[in-house]
Amino acid sequence: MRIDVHAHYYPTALLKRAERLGADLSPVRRISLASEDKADLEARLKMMDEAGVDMQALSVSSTQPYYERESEAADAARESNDLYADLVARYPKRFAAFAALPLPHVDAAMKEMERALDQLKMVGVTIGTSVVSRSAAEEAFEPIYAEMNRRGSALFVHPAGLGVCSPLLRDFQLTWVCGAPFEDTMFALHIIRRQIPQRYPKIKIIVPHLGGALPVLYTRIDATKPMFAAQNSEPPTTTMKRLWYDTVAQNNTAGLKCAVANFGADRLVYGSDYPYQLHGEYLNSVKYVQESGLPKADIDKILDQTAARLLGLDR
Amino acid sequence: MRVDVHAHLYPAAYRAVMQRLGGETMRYPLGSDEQDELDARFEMMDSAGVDLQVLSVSSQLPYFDREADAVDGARAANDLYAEFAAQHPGRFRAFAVTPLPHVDATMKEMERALDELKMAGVTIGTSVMNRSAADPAFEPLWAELDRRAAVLFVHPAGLGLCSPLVRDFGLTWPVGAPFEDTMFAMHLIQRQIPVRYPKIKIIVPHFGGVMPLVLPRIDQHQELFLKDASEPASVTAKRLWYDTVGHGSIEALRCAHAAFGADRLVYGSDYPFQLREHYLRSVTYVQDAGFPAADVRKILDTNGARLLGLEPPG
Repeated sequence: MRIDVHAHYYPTALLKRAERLGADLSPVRRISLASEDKADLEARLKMMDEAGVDMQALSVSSTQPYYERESEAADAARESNDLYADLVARYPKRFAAFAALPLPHVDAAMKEMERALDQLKMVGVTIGTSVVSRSAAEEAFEPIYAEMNRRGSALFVHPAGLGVCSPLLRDFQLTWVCGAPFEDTMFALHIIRRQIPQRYPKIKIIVPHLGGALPVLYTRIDATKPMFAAQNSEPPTTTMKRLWYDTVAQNNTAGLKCAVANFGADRLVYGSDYPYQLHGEYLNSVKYVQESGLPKADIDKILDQTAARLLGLDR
Repeated sequence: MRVDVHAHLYPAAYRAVMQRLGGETMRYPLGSDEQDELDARFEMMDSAGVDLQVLSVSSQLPYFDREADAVDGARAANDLYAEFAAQHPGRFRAFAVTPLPHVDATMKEMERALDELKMAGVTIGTSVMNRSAADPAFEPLWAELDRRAAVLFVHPAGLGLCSPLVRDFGLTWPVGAPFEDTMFAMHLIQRQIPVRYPKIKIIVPHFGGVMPLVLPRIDQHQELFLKDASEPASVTAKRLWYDTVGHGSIEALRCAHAAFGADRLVYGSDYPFQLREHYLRSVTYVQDAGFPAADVRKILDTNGARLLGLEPPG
């Protein structure tokens, strides 16, 4: 079963609410074919068919319901999850969806997670690489990881789109170009630093874009362990192999191979970054894995096996 | 000729100057200029077949708000480095530092360092404190480097991208440094410096950080950060050179080789942060990567020497 774990959906009502609450939607506005319109959905399903994708596991991307005011965050998260669950109910074989949480409000997040996973039957949770300017691995958020671990949930991570809060990226329009993979890397190292993957081993954490810079910084990160993870009982790269990584890499075959060599094919899952990869690019998100020269058994795991198991859809 | 373009020396006299000026003064094992430390360094160079190290004082850069302080630091570093190169011809050359962000003083010190002290090129931080090194204010520096067809060795500023999410989590060097390399390369591309000043030989360390992975991504998102360019961003990225400091990761080296090609990779070690077996490995991992022999030769023994004018262009 071919599942695309990295695909976004932007219902109009959600964007309107985000805009009303002051979100910068410019990265969302520039794209098309991502709304609930019939034509958009038909085009999406056609691309999925062409690429042999059975199902997309949808997430909100950087339009997370993260607001300082708890009521705003809680309302936005509820509406978001309801809209996603509604689409899934209409196309149960083609879509699943990750629940968004009203962070940084932990109690509200716990309640919404329960509702989304138990009542709406969503397939897992999505989280930003940071909660606005706070680390997503902060101690305050620990109950959320504990609960996901209890449930054995999948957690789909996505760049917050804040350019790591660095003026040297944000002021230079590099927030998405290289800020996003930096954020993926930063998130992975923040959770490794706090040993979240060891302490909560049942959470299936999926980091996008091959883990950002992790595949090329693999050995450097172990060599510099004393600087950021001195107390950890295992090398950071061992902890890294407790996570999963999606294949969104703009068809960088050498990058994919570098990730497979370091993490193992078992740790990679297919993702497209729909709607930022459309038509031929959507097709290529599958094809570049098929044509990578990796062993067939590895390709099968990456494209068609591992994600279904992670999301509990193989039963 | 095997040239190590990424090697540091932190002389005691320079650390004393930096201490007086309030700069970074960390002492690293086998990184100073005491005779026994130099002996150990030469022994490691011999074991790795390294003929020459081109020294840089990064990341202890003399970038200060007060112009007089910056000038003091830069002059001290360049005088000391020129002296080491003179004392150990054939083993050391050195990149000049300049007293940024002060442009006039930088132009003066660059002229002195390159013309009088005959230094091998210039080194620059990925940012000048919290300012982009590609800031329009620094344009005269780029124009002059281009006029001279100088080598420019880039080094992380060690400021973790000025990001609290990097700096407050012990990540300034583990990943902040390679992030800074990428940020620097992207700032250059954004301002089209490699296109406008094509004669500068710019060497970005650590394969350019995450550049080998994001090369197709920067093309696809080009309209977000670069409009009206005459070429794709990845083509401009390939106008730069990248050193091989990669902590022995053959997988990463292969990724960089696939992205940039052997012509754009130059050997570097990051001495004294890679000592003994790690120093040796900085050479052998290039030899063990499974590249054609001609590519290994270019990366280890030809590209660096040619960039520095120590071997005729082939």
